[in-house]
Amino acid sequence: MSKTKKRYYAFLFMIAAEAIAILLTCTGFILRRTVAKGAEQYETVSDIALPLVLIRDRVAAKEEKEPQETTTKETEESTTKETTTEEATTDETTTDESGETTTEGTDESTTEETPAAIDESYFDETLFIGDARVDDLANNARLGTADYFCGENFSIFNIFSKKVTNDDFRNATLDQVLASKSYTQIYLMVGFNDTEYPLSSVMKQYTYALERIMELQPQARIILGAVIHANEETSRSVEGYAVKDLNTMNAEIKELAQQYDGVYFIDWNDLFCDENGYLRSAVSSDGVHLTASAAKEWAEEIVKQAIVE
Amino acid sequence: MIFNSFSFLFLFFPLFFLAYLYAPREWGKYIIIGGSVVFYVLGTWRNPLEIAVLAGLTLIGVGACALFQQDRYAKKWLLVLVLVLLAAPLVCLKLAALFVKETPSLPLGLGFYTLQLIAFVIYAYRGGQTKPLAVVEGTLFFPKLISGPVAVPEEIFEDIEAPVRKRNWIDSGLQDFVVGLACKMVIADRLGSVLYEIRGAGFGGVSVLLAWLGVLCFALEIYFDFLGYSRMAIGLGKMLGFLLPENFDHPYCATSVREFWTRFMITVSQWFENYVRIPLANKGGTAWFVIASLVGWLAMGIWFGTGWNFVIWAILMFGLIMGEHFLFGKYLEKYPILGHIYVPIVIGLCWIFFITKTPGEAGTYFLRLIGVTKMTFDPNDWKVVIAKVWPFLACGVIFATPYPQMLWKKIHKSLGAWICLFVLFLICVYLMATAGNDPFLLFSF
Repeated sequence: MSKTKKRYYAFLFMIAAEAIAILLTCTGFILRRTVAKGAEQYETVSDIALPLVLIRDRVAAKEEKEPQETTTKETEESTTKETTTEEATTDETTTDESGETTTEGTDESTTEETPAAIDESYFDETLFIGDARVDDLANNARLGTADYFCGENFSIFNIFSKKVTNDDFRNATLDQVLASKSYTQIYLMVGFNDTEYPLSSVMKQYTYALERIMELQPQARIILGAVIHANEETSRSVEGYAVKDLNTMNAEIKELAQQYDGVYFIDWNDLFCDENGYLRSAVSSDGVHLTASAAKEWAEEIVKQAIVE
Repeated sequence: MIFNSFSFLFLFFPLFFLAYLYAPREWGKYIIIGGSVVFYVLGTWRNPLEIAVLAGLTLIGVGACALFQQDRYAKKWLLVLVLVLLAAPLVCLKLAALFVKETPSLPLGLGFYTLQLIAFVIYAYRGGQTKPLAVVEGTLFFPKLISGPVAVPEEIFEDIEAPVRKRNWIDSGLQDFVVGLACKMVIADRLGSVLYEIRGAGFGGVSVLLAWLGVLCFALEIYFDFLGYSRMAIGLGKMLGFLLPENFDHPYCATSVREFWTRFMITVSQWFENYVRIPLANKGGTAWFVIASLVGWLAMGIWFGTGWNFVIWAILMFGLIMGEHFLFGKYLEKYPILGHIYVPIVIGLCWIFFITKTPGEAGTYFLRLIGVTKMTFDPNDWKVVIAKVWPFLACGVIFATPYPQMLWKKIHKSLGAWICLFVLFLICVYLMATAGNDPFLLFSF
């Protein structure tokens, strides 16, 4: 008697599991052609997973809508707290490094040793444009109420065609962003994803992008950031990521900056790289993207090297 | 193909299982071999070389077993030659990883099926009865092909000869499988997010508390990941009528490192004991005992992962076990409470060499544990992390003790138990869909 009972449970279990799987797959099949039609982010999701992924995203979107305001406030508070508590420890390490940076990188009127004079609110009307590295900055070390227009794979060729959805923007193009608000300064830090193209066309596009930004935001100070290197392994294995090549590109960007008034160039590489120019393992776990703590160091460096006229 | 994927759960296994159940019994072994080949090829068809390595080594194993079967007085050098051939791909790839920067990734499951084939060949050499088809089936048997446990030759050959086809084995196998799936998906993968966070922040960029939390989470993650995979394998084996050996026995409740390794990945550590340490130690004397232990641990360290970290880890394990043997083991025996504190701490700290990739990173991590740092960090980062993982952490700690299993044994036949398992299964399906599939942790070393 008990034996038949047991057999019944396992049998039911398997039938029910399979039925749910079939149900999910059919629902997913239908949803893909209705609710999720044309949604790029679901392209790689299989039919069976799609209904569950949609549920997750709906729940997350709902949660985000309600307590968003409070959480952003909290994070702001905590970031300001961090900077005050960490100042004691970071000052020693970064002052000597920034000393080195200035010799090579900042040739214009940058102020080096006045961290106290500028605080984060200086960046309230600032726009950061950039690739995944800037995204690390946006996610881990925001400055004041600055806006961040950035994302994976952003390059000089696609910054005007990409749309950004993050804490600052909803589905916005760079043109819309530049037209909608007036910024006092704009940081442009792309180039790492352009190494496969000929340098001459990259620079042509760079010039075009710079002039477009200047045209839309004539009042803004524009800072071109050097492309940050990759770690040794990536530099050696990926064509175009070699320190030499990136330095050539950076030299061209620097030259471009010198051709215009109100355009500056800053090189951050000394902050992140070892003596051979390779990204240190402590600042990046994958050799390209920055760790949270490295992003914070970077943000402090940006404050230190802020351009004051 | 991995067990915690939709294609395995809802497509491959149901079809395979139906065929196995309802086809004539004498077809069983062909269905298992065919199914195992499909299982392996579906996961590796992009790299035909991996399939070739598996096929080649299996052929060598089958040939050698047949040879030793016929020639009862085969020369020892022949055995050595076969063992060298069998171990060559694994050893070469592992050693290459130590000295050459870019090495190809290991073929899927190479570590496990190499151990299995060597066990079969030695069994045949020592006079055990083997049949060529049984060796093929025993090697390719898909529940254990890519992630163990390593079967004992006598036992698996017996099961291959006559699988136990009983309804209650299917019941208990299905329950084992779901429990294993939950260990992997609900506990191990959730706790894995902590290490992901720490890696993202950089090992030197986390607070002291988060660094310690990371060690605790990884210790539980690696246990539940391996345990989950082994349980799933054992469950699948049972459903097909095979009794695979237990691979874990609540290791963190051990009172010495030596005992820990009789409870953690039992089949693997037993393999190194049987085929490396015991033959060497049998040469006699304390010196040989020490050498045997050192060689055994180095071999196991290199088997576990690639890179110098695993060599250092192996030497640490060797040091600890020698220390227990010659120095402080007697105190641990006398005061078990001391052992219960000592084992989780030292084992946990040694896992740091698994967490990090290079000795330098491990050094950074250790410095972080004692609060020495060069980088900035958020002193409250651990609060954010613990708020996210505490339920899974609590489950992990509770299920690392033997008590839940004792309770489970009393109630597992009831309807309520089946309903709980089904709910657990649905949670796993949800997590599989939404959280991405983390492969078996061991694949990443």
